[in-house]
Amino acid sequence: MTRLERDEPPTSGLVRILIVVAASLVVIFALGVAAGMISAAASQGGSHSATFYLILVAVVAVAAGAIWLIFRNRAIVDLPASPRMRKSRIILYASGVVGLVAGMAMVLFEGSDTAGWRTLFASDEPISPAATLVLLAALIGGFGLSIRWHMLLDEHERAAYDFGAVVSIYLYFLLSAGWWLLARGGFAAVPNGYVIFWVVMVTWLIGWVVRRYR
Amino acid sequence: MNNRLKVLRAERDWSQAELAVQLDVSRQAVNAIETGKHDPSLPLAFRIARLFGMPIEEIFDDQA
Repeated sequence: MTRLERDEPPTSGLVRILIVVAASLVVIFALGVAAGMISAAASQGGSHSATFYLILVAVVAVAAGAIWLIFRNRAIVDLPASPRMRKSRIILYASGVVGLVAGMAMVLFEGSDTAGWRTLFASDEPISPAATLVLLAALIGGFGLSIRWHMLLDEHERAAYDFGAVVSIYLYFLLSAGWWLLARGGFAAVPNGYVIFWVVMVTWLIGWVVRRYR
Repeated sequence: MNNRLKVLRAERDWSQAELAVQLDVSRQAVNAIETGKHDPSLPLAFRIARLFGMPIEEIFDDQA
């Protein structure tokens, strides 16, 4: 008896990753709401309305549902049996840890103010020396892990990255040179390196996703 | 490029994940090769041929 029928479709991995990420965000958000409600209620005295308990139960139920979804799809975060894929996945998780540590350090140094974060990542405004060092350390750490990760990719994954890279480099050429010419001709503002950088990065990501999961 | 990878795998009762482990590639790579979305490199084609104990041209056919 063959087991072809238990092969997963190619998109199932991506869908399961998206479910785990979305469910994790829902859990964090729901627990934050619940903690905020309890904290606010405690500061206003001991008596709570039926609506308060109803909303609290609903928020906890949403969190429980999201945790159940994470549990159901937990296999997607298991380490693969193939040695190369296992190393690759460990590096991916290490990159996540680097990002998490950098994020926590930034909250510690810069606070969680949304406007502050926007200034930090979407402008050319000066930033504090502490924030500079944290971001630089994360950049260098992430860079090293990325190089190691690329050395471990299988050829299918590498082809997807190559495809994304080629598409994004052509777009970079068109966008940067085109914008520069338009600015010189008086049709547009001076080119914004930040916008160009993110457009190129997002295009690379889209190219990779399209080629890997088509 | 056409190939018989899916049939050969089925004959051995291997899942895509099990074949991926033996070839040291991702399951998505096996799926992409089976569905003709990715043509394997020569080294990978040789690994596949060795694993199934067959010549490459008996597994892959470029006369599509």
